[in-house]
Amino acid sequence: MTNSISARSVRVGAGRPSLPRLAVDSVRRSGLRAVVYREMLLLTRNRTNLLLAILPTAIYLLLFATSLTNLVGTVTYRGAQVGYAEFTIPAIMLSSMLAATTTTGTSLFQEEMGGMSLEVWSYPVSRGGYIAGKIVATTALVVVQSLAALIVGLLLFDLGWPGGHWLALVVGTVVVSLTFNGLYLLFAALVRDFQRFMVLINVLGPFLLFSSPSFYPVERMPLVLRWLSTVNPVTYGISCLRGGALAGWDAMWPSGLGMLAGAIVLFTVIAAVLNRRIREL
Amino acid sequence: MTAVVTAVEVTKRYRTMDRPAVAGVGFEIAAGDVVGLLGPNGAGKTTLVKLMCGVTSRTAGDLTVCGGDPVADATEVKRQVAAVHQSAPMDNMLPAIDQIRIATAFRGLRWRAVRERVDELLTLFDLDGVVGQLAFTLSGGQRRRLQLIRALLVVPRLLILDEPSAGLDVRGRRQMWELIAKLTIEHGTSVVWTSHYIEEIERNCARVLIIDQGRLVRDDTPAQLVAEFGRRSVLVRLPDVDDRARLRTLLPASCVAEVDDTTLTIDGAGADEHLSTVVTVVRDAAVRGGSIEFRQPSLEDAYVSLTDQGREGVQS
Repeated sequence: MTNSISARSVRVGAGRPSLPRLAVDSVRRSGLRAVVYREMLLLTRNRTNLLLAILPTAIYLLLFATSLTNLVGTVTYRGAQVGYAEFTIPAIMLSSMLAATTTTGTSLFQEEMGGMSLEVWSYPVSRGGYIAGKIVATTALVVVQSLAALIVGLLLFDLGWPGGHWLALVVGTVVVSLTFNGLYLLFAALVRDFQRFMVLINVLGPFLLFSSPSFYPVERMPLVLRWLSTVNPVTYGISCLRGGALAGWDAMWPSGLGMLAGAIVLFTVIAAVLNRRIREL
Repeated sequence: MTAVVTAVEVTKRYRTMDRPAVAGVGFEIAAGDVVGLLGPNGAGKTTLVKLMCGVTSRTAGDLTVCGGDPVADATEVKRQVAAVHQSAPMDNMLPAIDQIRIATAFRGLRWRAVRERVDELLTLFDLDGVVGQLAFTLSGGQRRRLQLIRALLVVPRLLILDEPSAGLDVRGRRQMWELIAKLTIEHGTSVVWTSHYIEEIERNCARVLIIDQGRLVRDDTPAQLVAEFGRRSVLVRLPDVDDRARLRTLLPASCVAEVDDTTLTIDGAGADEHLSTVVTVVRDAAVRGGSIEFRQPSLEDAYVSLTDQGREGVQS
């Protein structure tokens, strides 16, 4: 065994008061890349997470494919009769999305509680690069998980949607994932206590899902829930996904645009909150 | 010589704390300096480390690290700084090799460019057999060595070691000491080193900063601190209870302390002024197993004395 390492090594900034611009810019870009790379490793290396992301969705879909579809049959959507399975697939995707956003929100706490935020912030990564990387990586995770739910749905049901509807649904999935990821990341950034955060999202998730026209048309909802659904972001997320899948672009873009605007506002606030939180490490 | 770290009246106050974690601290570290940072738990060492790493921003004062402000010029400064943090942070569900890959990505380096160096370091620190193991299955010492590898992917201008020996065995500590010495000699790397193993600081650091309750109590060489604050002591072993009682009656109570059932220590001025009395008592007790041991003053004595003074000052 050798007891020394060679002098050939990567030397940085030796005796230079100012550093080459190009190298610094490259470090800034690599910050974003590194955050994304780390998040992806955390996701893909942990098979339990992957399994938990897919399995509950598959079970929900199987239940809907059998018992509930036979029980309910068809529902009226935008004046047309659609199969209950087709009607609920967007809701199951959104449910899967909320589960994934819980994971991404939790990851912020894990990073801080495990001390990794200290390690990460000791590297030459800019705040902007870190926050952008975090948003890109976690949204990618949510999108992948939601699309996985869609693929499981595709395997179980005969979904004869036209190509345009599929495209609108995929675009809608990205937009809605951005928004809900932003919402849960904001909760995680604002609520400093992990247990409080876990209670909040575990109560909030089912409440948001069932106080929106997710598994039933809005006309069938009790009056109070109908009122609540107007201020419930899941209502607009469902509208975006369901509109895309069942009626195409025309039905998707109004709520999609609203979701996108919401995402921009949320991420601006998150950037500010995370920036302040990092300063207090 | 160019200063690698210049701190002037640096203060850090957390909103949740009554007093500042770091209060008006000032010092300078030149290229190639190896500086020990000592202080009791909660003294502000880790906060000072975080400030130098650019992880947290100061509330007041000026801090320049590697020619820049560690927060305002974060990317420029941090690419020249490497740190081993006390809490040994890792992504526990990832294997050891991924911890290094992630560090490589954060440093903006290509894996291919550092692969050979990583292999050398893995061999040096006996980690080549555990690269596939998840971080949470590694022992404390293995985690600490893995941290050192992450920090040494580049040769930094400033290396910050926050309790790097915690969990390391004797061999691991010596390997680390050798590597740090090599870095400072061959590359002029400056090192800030905190440790609760004070003999480690005494052995490896040319200068020591002692901080207590957020304030810099002393900035000097270990030799000077020992000369000024170190106290020679005498360890007296007297198995016979009557011999111990006799010695106690002959010496002022303030300079005698009990170590265990059979051993007393005579500290400070008492050791010099009453040495002949002590030697007489021990000589008379030699047949009953009495013995004496002279202990040279150490940095640890100086450190305890200095921080005790600080405590007394606060209490009065």
